[in-house]
Amino acid sequence: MPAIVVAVGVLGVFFLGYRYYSRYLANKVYGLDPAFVTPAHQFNDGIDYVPTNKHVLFGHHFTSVAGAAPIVGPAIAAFWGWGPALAWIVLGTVFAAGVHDLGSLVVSVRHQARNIGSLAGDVINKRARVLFLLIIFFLLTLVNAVFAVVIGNLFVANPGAVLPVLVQIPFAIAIGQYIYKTRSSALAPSLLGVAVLYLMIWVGEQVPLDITPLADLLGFDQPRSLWVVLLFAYTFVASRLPVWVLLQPRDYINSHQLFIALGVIVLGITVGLDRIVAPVVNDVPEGSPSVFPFLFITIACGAISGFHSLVSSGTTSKQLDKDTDARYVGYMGSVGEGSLALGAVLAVTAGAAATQVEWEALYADFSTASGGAVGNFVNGVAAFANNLGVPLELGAVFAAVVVISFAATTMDTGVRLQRYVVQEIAEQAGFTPLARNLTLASLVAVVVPMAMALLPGGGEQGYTFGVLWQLFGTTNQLTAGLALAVVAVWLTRGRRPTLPVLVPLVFLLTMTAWALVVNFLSFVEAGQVVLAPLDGIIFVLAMWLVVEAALALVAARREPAVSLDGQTEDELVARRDRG
Amino acid sequence: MTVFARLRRGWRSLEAAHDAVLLGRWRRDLLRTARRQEEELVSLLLLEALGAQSPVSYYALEVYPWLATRTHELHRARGIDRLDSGACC
Repeated sequence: MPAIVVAVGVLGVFFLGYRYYSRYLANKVYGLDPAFVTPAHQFNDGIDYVPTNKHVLFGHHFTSVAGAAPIVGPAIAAFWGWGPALAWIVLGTVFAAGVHDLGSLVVSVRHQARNIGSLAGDVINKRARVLFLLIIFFLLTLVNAVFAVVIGNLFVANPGAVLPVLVQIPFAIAIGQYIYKTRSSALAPSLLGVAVLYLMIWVGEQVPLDITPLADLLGFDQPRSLWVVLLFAYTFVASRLPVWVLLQPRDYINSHQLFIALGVIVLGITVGLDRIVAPVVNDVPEGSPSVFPFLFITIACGAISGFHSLVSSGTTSKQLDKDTDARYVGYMGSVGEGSLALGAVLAVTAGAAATQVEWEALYADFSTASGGAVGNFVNGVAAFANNLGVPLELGAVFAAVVVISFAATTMDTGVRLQRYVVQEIAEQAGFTPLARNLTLASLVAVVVPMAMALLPGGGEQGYTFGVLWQLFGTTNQLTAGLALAVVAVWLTRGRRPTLPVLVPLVFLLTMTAWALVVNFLSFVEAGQVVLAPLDGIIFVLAMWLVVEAALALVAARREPAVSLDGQTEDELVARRDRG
Repeated sequence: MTVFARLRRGWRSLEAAHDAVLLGRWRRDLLRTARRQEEELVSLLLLEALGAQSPVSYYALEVYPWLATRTHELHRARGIDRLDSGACC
């Protein structure tokens, strides 16, 4: 089947989801009110709280949530065939991610734009706050570990991508300095940055940098391990710099790359009319992970991702101009992420291989599929770029640089966030030396995921990647579960319809717990002394979440109904004046 | 309006839209950084005003011309033409 037909079909369903289901959610479930005075107006300080045009805010929101995760997960999940992968992406985006992203944004806006962790403490109970911190700790640890492995594998497989990525760092610093000192617009410098990056992609393809000899000299078991160590050393330093020095200017360049990559995929499949060569449902080898429950934790970002609730309630809610804008910003954010996941599935099923036999070799078993997923995406995008006249080798370096840039930015942000989480957990545990020392906290934030990423595994690509990715998926889904539980309790208190929230909540928790139990048994059987306890801890957190959510929902049903406006008398006067 | 002027205006609009989307995400970090730097400067000046020895007096010398300019702007804005404090004018 031509990829463009599938793409149009999926985007059509997304459109219907936004047109009808998000309207139902906005009006009947969340009760969005155009007269509600949002925190951006209530606390307008010109810094954190700023009323922002909804299209601009969508741009902020989408570029914050989009990264490498909606590429990697779907690229692995194509193992079960493009049918199940796309079905989960479509159903997840329309009925789970939209509900989750919009819900976490609305509940935050109705609580002075507080973040989901703080809301968990208030709406559910104090223990839920500790639960949130622990889930986020494991989520960030696994995020940083899997993306270090992704980048390491890509550098080894595409040594041409090393030079452009390295050159991007000093160039981004120079751009940051220029914009910061001159206060000029970022458009021309960031376009120049993109141009230099693409020039370096061409140079990099001519001058590949392979560190295998150095890794051998230093006694590393494989070159990827050396890359992992170098990457964490880099993130330790980068996370101590002010954001405007490196993270911000690199993000200007990466945001352009996001739209360029999406454009290449759309134009490539439109011009080339590539056909999907993968089967709709793949006949997977015996002993492989089953669709239920593993598909639903393999594709987290792209179908539903708890990380979005952190962005929705962390920054987006502080900038929402009108309550009713939440529908567009929140729901469309999940649709944007779903579209990226759609692009990833098409790249690995229509671009990465020319025939079904070739494709079946790439996805021969789960270990091969998970280890080679990112490489398959890179080759798929290269094939789409080739339809536009870009040589295949150059296209592969371009796609590798895109994925590495996204993953590196995620790692930068992840380590920054993790050190705060480490400090807060240390504060709660009364361990003052760690709570007060940023360097020590940064060290913990770097060393723990690095140890995970360096875990020895079998297979050329390192089977730990597939395993780590699944563990990352479970923690991401648990974060989404916690956010959905907060939304469900809040809606129950207001006697609003809760079914649209409870169905994805129960589904997610069931799939996550099921996957954790199956994985735990296999880890114990394989004698995995690190992964088995880690899986066990995450399972305990999942069960804790189930109990807290159930108790809070039962308690909320017994309480008298409350207004969900959450505004004081003064605020209501301001609302009337504004209306 | 000339073609060049139209192009220039179009480019400026594009810059504004681009910065609104891309810079906005980071604006609060920039403003926080600026606010923290200003607060540090004010704290140091307060220390000196209270008679405490500022640990960075020597390094703060370069901001005195800026302070004199700001003081000058401040008293002019308040309707005072000259300020006989020796700081400016």
